[in-house]
Amino acid sequence: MRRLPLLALAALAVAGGLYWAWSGSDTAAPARLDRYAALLAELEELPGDGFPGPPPGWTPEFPRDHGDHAGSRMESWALAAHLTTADGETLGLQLSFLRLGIVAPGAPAPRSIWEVRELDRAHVALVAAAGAQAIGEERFGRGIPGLGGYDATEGAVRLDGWFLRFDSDEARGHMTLHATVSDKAGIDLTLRAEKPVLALAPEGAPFAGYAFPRLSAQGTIDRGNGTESVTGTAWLDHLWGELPLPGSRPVATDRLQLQLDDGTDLSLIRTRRADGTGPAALDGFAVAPDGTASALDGDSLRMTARRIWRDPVTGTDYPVSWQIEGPGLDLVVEPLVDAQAFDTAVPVWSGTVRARGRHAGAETSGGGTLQLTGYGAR
Amino acid sequence: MTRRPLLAALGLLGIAAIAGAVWLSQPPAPPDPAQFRSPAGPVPASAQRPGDPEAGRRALLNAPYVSCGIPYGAYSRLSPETDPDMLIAGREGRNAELPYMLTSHVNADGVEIVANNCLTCHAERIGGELIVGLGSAFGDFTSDPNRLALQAGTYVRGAAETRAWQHWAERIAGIAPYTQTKTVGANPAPNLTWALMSHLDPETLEWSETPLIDPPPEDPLPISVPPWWGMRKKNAMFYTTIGRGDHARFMLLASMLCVGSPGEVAEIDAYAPDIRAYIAALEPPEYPYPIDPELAARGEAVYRDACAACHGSHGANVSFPNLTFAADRIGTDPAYANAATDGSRDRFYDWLARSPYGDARSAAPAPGYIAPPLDGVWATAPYLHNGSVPSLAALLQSEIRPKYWRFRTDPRRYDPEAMGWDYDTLDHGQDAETAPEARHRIYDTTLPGYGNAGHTYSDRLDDAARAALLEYLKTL
Repeated sequence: MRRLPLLALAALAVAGGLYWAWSGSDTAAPARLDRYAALLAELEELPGDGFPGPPPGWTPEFPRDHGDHAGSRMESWALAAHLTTADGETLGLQLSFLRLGIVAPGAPAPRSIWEVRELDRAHVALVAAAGAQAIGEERFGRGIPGLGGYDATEGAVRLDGWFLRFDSDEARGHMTLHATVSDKAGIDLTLRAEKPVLALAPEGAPFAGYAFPRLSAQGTIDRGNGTESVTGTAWLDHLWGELPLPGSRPVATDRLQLQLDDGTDLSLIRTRRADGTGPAALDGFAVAPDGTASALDGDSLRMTARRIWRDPVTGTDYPVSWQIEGPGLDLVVEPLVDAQAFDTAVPVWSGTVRARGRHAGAETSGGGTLQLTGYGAR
Repeated sequence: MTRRPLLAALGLLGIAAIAGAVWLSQPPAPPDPAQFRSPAGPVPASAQRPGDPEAGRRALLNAPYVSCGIPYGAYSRLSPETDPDMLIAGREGRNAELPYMLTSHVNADGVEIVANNCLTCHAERIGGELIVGLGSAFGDFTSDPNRLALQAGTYVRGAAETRAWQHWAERIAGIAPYTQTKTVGANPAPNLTWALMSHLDPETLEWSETPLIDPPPEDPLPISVPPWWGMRKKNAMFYTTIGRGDHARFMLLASMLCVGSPGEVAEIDAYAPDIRAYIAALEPPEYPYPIDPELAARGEAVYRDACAACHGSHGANVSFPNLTFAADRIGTDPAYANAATDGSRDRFYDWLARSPYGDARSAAPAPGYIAPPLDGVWATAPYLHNGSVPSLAALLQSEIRPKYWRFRTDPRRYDPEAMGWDYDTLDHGQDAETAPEARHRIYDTTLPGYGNAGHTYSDRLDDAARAALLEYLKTL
């Protein structure tokens, strides 16, 4: 069939790979928000020229591709886990790193370390089923080796003390992470791939990447009253290339990743106009227990909001509960707690959810992550 | 996932499907159906405005007759590099670096826009060569174009780009329900055109988010895009002989996706006769494989006896009778001709008559199909008005026409013997396939409007005569 450049657009949906966006700290002061908005405005003006896209025919190769792709315009590592403590409490964790190239790789070497060549941004969010709301922390860096970005010696992407380390001996998805949420919590996890890596490299797309749709997680969490052990399931996306700039576009997304107890993983992305008008489009894929991925038929798939939650801080309405229907699929998705919104320059609700219903003719349940962008006033 | 739809440039117009002509508003009296009908038989010639073919080619490849699309900024983020195979000579400025089916212009807001042009549906590649005017046999209109618009929006930045994107996305949302065909390669242009008419005021050309007249049925009847070089012989542009009168004016419908005022139409009309002149001057591509001249000569005699009366003669005594035949006489799928003449499209013919795009005779279909000129017929697979027969060999011998078939696409290859694109015959239709991508690649002739019956005139030929005829058709 004919290869048309616009088809690259469709590929986005397959990758489902819009990164877990710039949700920020819940404690941001207005002055900082202004600076952030200004930064975003400046980023919009940055030329994209000179940043190479992924090479044609790219296939993932590890450990090389765990690391950064220094020439790329943007790069994102995003891990989301739903965990259970020894006491049976359900927790949700999100940890993401974003690297943004400011100056194209061909430029002359910087004259001083103060010349910003890239920006790093990391975000951690933690939610407990018993808690009232999610807590989070956001950090920024300037790509100074040893402090932020990908450290090849360590095999880890990091920002200050937070890191996600890839074990080079086990290229197939063995990793560890450490993160803290201000002084409220510290988390250490060991992650192992339960399914083969999934290449996210649609033909002609301006980005490439991969996902580990199902990792087993175990480790510890310290929330100020001693160390508790946790186990659970996680999903990792790593994408690089030309990714959409968050918060500066006329469309927004509702993105859902689910890991069902029957071994199926689902990725759905609902794209809609941020102003609330017009139609929405739904795309997604399912990963079978054996790791086989298949596209879900967007025409027969439905994702319907069931319940709105109003953020008491910003007044923004978020559809936090959804019904997912499709061939052999009928699930109700509910948030672990409603208050998982992060009020930044780009307001976002990004939280851990639980799913319950039927899949392939049998009762099932599961956990996952839901991200709602574009609902807040801009 | 491999394939998704490209947005249609509205290159084509014809007629389609079912449903009653119900007026939601205007005019006081329903249109007189007789006004919008022609009898079967010859189509009279009409005067065409003169034009400069060379200026027409330039305009076709560079002018912004489709005035909305993806902001270039978003396009370049998505698709920073162009495959050199997608370039075409004769393009100016930015267009020189864009794929042939996209044209750039700067809108009134100062935003550079990349829009689909006529070649989206009216160019196709055979044997590595891009042939302008050959209908696309592989365009994919099976998916929801809203998805494409929204995904493009993901890469849009800033207020001006957003406004430009919204204009385009709104129009796409308006037509999306009416453009999704069941098979890759089947073209929905007529239905898409009716859908646009239902949203546009015929006189002011102002867009209304809610339809002003009843829109067409959602499922488009499938069309195989006819080759442009037929226009040097045809008195009416489309299968049911819609597109009579001033062809250049009718072609302006290609601008309708984005249009907002009669002034815009007038601007394009200033160079439309040039584009028509270019199209009417196009020569069919020559068959690029060996031809057996003796066999072809025997085939010419067969052609004279069996084909020429309807399809016209070639060679020294060129003629083309411009004849339409009732659908039940030819026996080909009647859905498209019926829909054109059962009254269910009359509100669109009336719209056309009241608009700057035509007059009362522009859309006056006959209850059947024109016997098209066969110049370059070797290149124009699949065959019949709905593209239901994958090769000329199958067209000429109805018992070997596949009920279910699928083009081979990886890679696609032209079969010089069967005269058509390589295909696989399948033992199942679309019902048996659950995966949408795979389902949409199946041409299922049991679907309404997708039938492959009729035009069985050459069944009575013996194998030798049929082989000779096929050989002769390579020479046209």
